[in-house]
Amino acid sequence: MEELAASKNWTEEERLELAAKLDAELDAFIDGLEKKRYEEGWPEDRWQEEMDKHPFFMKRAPQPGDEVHPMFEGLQKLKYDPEENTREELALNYKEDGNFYMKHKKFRMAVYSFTEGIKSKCENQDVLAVLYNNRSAAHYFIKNYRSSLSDAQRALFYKPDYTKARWRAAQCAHELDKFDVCTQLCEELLEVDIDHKEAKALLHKNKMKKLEVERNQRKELAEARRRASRLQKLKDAVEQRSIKFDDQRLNKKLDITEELLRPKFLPLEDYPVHLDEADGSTLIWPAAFSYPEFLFSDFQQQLPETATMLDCLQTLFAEPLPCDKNQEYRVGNVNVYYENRKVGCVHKVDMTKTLRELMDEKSFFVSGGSLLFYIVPKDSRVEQEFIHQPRRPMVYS
Amino acid sequence: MDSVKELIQFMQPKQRLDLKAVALTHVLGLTGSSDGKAAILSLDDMLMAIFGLTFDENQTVAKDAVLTLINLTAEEEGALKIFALAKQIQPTFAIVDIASKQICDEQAGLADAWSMVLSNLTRCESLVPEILNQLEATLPQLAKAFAKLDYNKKNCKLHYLAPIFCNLTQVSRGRELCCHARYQLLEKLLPFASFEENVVRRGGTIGILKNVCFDSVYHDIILNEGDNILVAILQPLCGPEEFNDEDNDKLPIELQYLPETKTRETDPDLRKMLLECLLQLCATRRTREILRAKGVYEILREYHKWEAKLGRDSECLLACENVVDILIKKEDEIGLDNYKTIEVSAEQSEKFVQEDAAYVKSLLD
Repeated sequence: MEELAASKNWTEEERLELAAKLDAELDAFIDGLEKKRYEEGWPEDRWQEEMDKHPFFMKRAPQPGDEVHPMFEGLQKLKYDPEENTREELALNYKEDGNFYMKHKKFRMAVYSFTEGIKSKCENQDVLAVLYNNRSAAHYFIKNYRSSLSDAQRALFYKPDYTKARWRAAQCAHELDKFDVCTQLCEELLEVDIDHKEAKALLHKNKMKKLEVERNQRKELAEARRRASRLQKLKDAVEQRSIKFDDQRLNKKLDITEELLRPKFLPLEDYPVHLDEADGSTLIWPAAFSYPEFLFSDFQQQLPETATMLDCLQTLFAEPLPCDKNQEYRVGNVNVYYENRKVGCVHKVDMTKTLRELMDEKSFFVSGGSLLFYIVPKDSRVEQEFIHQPRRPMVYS
Repeated sequence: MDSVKELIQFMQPKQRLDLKAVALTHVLGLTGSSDGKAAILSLDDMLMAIFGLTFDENQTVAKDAVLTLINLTAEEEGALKIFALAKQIQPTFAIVDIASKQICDEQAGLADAWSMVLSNLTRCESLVPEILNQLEATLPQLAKAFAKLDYNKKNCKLHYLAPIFCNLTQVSRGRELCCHARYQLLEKLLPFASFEENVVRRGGTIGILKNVCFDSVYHDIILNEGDNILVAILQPLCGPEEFNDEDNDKLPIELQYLPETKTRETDPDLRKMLLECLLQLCATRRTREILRAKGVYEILREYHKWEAKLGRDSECLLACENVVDILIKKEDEIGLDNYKTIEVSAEQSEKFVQEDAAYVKSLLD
């Protein structure tokens, strides 16, 4: 053809003729091709469905478990296949993913992505530093302060001048009450940039928190000491008076514990025996006064050992007992008894004696951390029944 | 004198090691006596030789050279002479620069020795402005070296940085730099006012406090909401005593619920300095009110009991009573805003001094 074109001078007619001939040849060729139906297109009725599956047009990311479009799979492979990418490219790809999730506040997904990036074991320290730093940020937003701190510190390991990571580490340390770590990190930040306002503020805030924690610890310690000292004084006072408790065998060495002194009667629960704060030497006891006639008990929460039984009765009968129809329960008309549960007998109380003197009596035992007395009208049937009531001595298992 | 001159030739860097060492040892010995010192200070060449040997490769020689400098600068005359000479000679012996570099060097074995030289030099008030100019840039680093207890890896404790800072605060620029909020130097130094393990460190820090308190310009900084400085002053004066809840709440948080093991400052001179700080702070009405609000009176009340019974230093008792007297009064009784503005005639002040002396004698039985 080229010789023809070169040597010949074409006329308009000859040109037109050639063009028509070429057109006809083309048509013939096309007609000669195998006729195939276009099958790869989407069926018309399901075009929306197909569109949703196509990676270019999908509106929703495929969820785990979904069937994946082959093109999508191909793209995935391209991006994530270790054979297609160098370690660094892989790491950077995961980093991009992570950053994308961060932007959309999907922090757990971000952690996952950054983790995969880290697992790629790329050798570029700067990339690793960024991956750890970003994962630290993700952890921070979901309040995993421990993980965040650990990641920020790893980032610093790979890039010691990574200010962003250091700042985040400082904030994590503060959240975790790691005061010294926080101080150290803030000071490092200020060494690099003395005008780092946030670091200065955090340094101060951290110090205040630390001081408060320390002060509270000291306060607790002081209170514990005070409690212990009070208990010791109480123990000494009780031992000094050789007070007897029926919760323990006589000849066994008495171990005075808070438990032993805890009142077992509900109304007396909050008033265990204690030393009078004013004079530091008078014991104040919780006591129960039982009325066998009425089968009910009255409770006196704070009786000084210097009080006599007369004093007690005066308080008890200041107002007449509601159940005392015959007005028998008056000072001078009643007898008071205490019980020796070990032996199983009762003893009459000398009204003029102080509680301390009473407790000194051979048969008196403190029972259930409290003093227990029984009140009956003098020379009455109630009294007789009470005295002769069968009692069994206490048995120790 | 001539015999001393002869030693100079043996103290040149290129000399045999044994000659250098022996000559230097001899010179060091001479600095033990004031005659020896005077002799050496009069010989510029000798001084230059000593400067040179501070760089000697052999650690013992270098150390002896620095020790010699310490002795020579111990008194003002020697210090002035050495400083002037170091500047004058060609090439200049940048003594301040060298000292501060050594102190900041974690691996320097002679850091302590050089800090003592610098401490001696800064004691001369006239030299401080110039030294301050040269040191200004490294102050933060020096503060860091001071605050971090194991900063120096060759076992140098750097306690003498405390007197150095203290000396620098003799001039107002020094105080300005120390108190500058931006550098937060004072924050780093303050905790050491209670440093039990070493009196130099402690004493130096308390000296800083005193210099700052004597300058009323800084009273505002001292009594700002931070409480740091006030706490540093009060902590050595506090003991293990417990306060009732009402008093407790007034105290700065660091001073609440101090453990039963808390002891007070053992050196009476230092105690007196702290009390003088408080006295200075009582100058204006505003600061007096702040002190009262922070429970200073309550602390001094307990302190006074202790000092009378156990401390037993009458000057401290007087100093304490001076402060308490002011704090106890009501503001309308005091009537004026700033104590420092009152004029006291010379004969009145002499009378006061004598009265005080007599009173002091009566304080302890």
